[in-house]
Order: sequence, then C-alpha cells, then structure tokens
Amino acid sequence: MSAITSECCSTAASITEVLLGGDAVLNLTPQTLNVVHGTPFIGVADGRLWLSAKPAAIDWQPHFADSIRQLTMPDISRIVIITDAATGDASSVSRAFAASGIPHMICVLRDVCDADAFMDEADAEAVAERLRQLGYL
Amino acid sequence: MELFLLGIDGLPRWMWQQLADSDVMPHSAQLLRTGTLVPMKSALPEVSSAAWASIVTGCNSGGHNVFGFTDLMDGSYTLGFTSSRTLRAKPFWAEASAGPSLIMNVPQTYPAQPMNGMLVSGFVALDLKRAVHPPEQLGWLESIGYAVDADMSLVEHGKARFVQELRRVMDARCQALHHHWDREPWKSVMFVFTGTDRLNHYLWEDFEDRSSPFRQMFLNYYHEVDRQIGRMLERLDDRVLIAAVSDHGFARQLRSVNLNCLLAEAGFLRLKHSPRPSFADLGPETTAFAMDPGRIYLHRQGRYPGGRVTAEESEELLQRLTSFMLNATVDGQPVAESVHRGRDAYSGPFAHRAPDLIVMPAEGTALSGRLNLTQLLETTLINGRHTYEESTFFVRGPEAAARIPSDMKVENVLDVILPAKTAQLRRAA
Repeated sequence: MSAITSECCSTAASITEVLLGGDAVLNLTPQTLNVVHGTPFIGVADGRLWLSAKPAAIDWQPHFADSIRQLTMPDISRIVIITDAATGDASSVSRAFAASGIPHMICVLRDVCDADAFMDEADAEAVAERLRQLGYL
Repeated sequence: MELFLLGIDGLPRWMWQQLADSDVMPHSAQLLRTGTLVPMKSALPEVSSAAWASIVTGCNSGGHNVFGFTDLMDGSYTLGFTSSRTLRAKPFWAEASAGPSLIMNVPQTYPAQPMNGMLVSGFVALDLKRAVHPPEQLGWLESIGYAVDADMSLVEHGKARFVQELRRVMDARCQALHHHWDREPWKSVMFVFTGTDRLNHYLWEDFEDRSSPFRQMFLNYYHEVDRQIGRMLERLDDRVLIAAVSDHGFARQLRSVNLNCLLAEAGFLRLKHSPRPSFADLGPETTAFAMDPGRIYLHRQGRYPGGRVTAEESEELLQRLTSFMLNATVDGQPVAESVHRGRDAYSGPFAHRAPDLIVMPAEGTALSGRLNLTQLLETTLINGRHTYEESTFFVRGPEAAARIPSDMKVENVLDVILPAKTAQLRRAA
C-alpha cells in the first residue's frame, strides 16, 4: 500500500464535500465538523489511537505515532487529517502515517475556501448554459 | 502500464462495429478483432454524469450520489450542479492500490481532486486552473491552447464551424495525452473522447440521412477519432489490458418533451408566478416535479420545505404518476417507454436521495426537466438523443472477457477490468 499525501482546503461546514466512502477523519482542530452521521473518526483512549464512530478531536502527541500500526481499520482506505491555521501538527502527523504506509490527505480548514466556492453564481450560470446547450436545462 | 481505458462518449456499440466494418474506423476494426465487444446498459436515467460516475467507481447512483447533472440540495429548493465533490464513491484511480494514473477528460471529475498521478477534468469543467492536478502542469496545457470544452454555441454558426471546433479541442486533448503519457511510467491511463457525444447530438440527422451534405463531415470526424485511437494503440504492448467504453447509446431525436410542463397540465405541478421560474417557486399544491432528464420526485413532506405529500399518500400517487406517464401522448406520440421505481433501481448509501420514478423516453423522444412551462414541445437544434441500451463495452483478450456478465451495465465495468477493486468495494460494504 503506498502512502499518498496530498493537500486540500475546505471549511468546517462543507467538509462532507471532501470526504469519500472509506475515509476516516483525524481532526487536529477544535472545530466541530459538519459530517454525516456515522463518519468514522480517529480518537484517543488510554494514550492510544483508536477508531471511533463518534466525532473526536486529537491534541497530537509524538508517542501516538507508536500506536498507528495497531489501529484496526478494516474498512478504511484513507485518513483525512484536518488541520487549520492555528494547528501546527499536521506535517508530523502526516509523516507518522507515511512511515506506516497509510494513505492519507491533509485538509486545511479555512473560513472561506476557494475550492468550495468553485461554483459561485457566475460559474453556476456558465454550467447552466452548457447544460442548456445539451438540452438538460 | 497495466490498464488503458478508452472512453468514447455517446458511441453506440452497433455504430462502432458498423463504422469499423465500413473502413471509417480501420484502427478500431483491428482492435475489435482482438477482443470482445458487447452492448452495455447505461445509468438510470441515461445521463452522462451518472453513467461515467458508475463506470469509474463501480457503483450505481445510489452508491456514488450522482443522479444527473443537477440536484436539489437536501432540505431545500437550491439547485446544485453535480461535480467531483458530490461524487461520493472513490474512482478507481483514488484507490490505495491504484498506483500512478493519468486521467484525462473524464466527465464528472471537476474540480480536479488530489490523486496519485495527473488528472485533467472533463465535462462540466469551467476553468482549466481548477481542472488540473497537479497544478504545476497547468502552464504547459495553457501553452498548447488546451480547452476544457468545445464552444457549443458555435453550432449556431453552422455545422461546419461546429465540427471544426470539435476537431480543434480533440487535437489539443490528444496532444496533451501523448505529452503526459511520456512523462511517467503510469500504471493506468484513462482518456475520454467527448466530441463524439456533441457531434451525435447535433449531427445525428445527417448521419442517418445518406443525402445530407454534412454526412461525410460526420464520418470524417469519426475517422479522425479512429486515427487518434490508432496512435494510442501503437503505444500499447500486449501486456496492457485495453478496454473501451461509452456511457450511453444514441438514437434519433424527433421531439423534446418538457416533463414539468406535462406534469403541470395534468395538475401534478403548480408554479408560483415568476419571471424566471426556479424550484423555489413550486406551489404547495405541487405533488411531483421533474429534473433532467426523466427523474420525477414526489414533493414530499420533510424532504422539501413546502412539500405536502405524506408517506401514506406516496404509494397511491406513484401508481397514478406511473399510469399517467405510460399513457401520456404529445401530438399523438407516446412520451414514455417505461417507468421505473427509484427504490428498486438503486442501492447504496445515497439511494435515499434517488428520484421516486425514472421515466424512460419513448422512441424518438427526449425528456427535459426544465422549469419553463411555456413549451410542452421544446424547440432545439439537437436531433440526437441518448439511449439506455447499446452503450459500448470492449475488452481485449479472453481472460477479462470471461468476466463480462450477461446483462452488462456501466457499474460492471470495473468488475471486468479491475476485479480486485470491486472485491474491495464489496468487502467494505
């Protein structure tokens, strides 16, 4: 399994647009994420990482890296590491997952994210026009 | 390279065989002799966004969340456009085991999402800057005049000008494919011709009419597509699994029926007066409305802010709507060939977002979900329409062909060409 590290940005409100089936969220921020019910999170219990069915946030500690290999994640194919401007741990977390060969992505939360706003009013009108030309609208 | 997946948007299986047999597509003829070509069923409804999403994820719309080009945001009347961000199942290139992939012009991949390799988004890409991953490849694409789409408005300046534009866009896309093909040892390459769909929409009447002055132009375009296919095949050795797909079939369009207009005439839909109608203008007495191309939604209580149809009322209403659609005629011609229940057609975590009914059009008819209720029969330059039956599936060699199911559908493509990916999906389910 190759560890793919890539980065995107989103907002706490629209994070569901980033998450795909098979993703687990590792939230390094104190922000509440607008996820759908049942989204798996990585939390901490007894000083170790574990997979939780409930939202969790992590104050990352270096020794957590030791428990990555013990994480049981049968249906998870990617970890989405959520960070923001006030959180500086994302790169060390990313290195820890990379060292374990676990595919992951860093998603930086912003107040406003260009990628989320890709379909602004002008874009929507442009798409609508293209769909009209093909008879959809 | 292990996999080369070629997409030819809107190319019917029978037409590919016919053009190959008649020397319009000689490279295709050579390719088709090395494998198995079968008809494939499209998505329900037969719309490109849903069909390509099924092809690249191995799920039907209930699994990937793309039911059409448009959707209403949950709990609202806000019209949204489906995109890579609404596609909720992983395309095969995003799987951990996929390896580096080169993915070019696949519809429903805009804006470009991070992935292992390179991706240039296809329809409905708007801005090349947001259509390219990784972004450092943008400059070269701009330098060759790569366009995210052809300017379809040019059809109003004549068919010759339109076809010239389709050629220009195809040439740049193929140039980009070969340039990036050389850059890295890709594990998978997927490339989609989409000009074929546009050509079929606007020049299908010319293809069918042997006396049309534009017929040769239509065939010449396919000949050029075939020449490009030949260039690609030259680069593929015997170890590469080659597959080719189209997202739907094509047939003659004689009329376009506005389903919302039909529903309004029958009393199922009422719009508040508005100079520019939107779904927010649905009156509370509305019990059903349509979205592109044949999706019918009950105006359900709890699902829409002004919805009044209760769960208890829904079954009787669905039966009435089904009967109405199956018996409806416009100018003496039937509107629908069949009507499917959404709950039977889809499976997966997003099946609850499905339309309640899917209306499949009668022969010669296209269905639209416009909210403009002034024209039951719409005026359009389009004379070719999608079909559910007879999209294309081809795979080289006997081993993969043995996995083709008897009732091949777009969501089965990965079962055949990447069986390990679908086994993984099933385990996750």
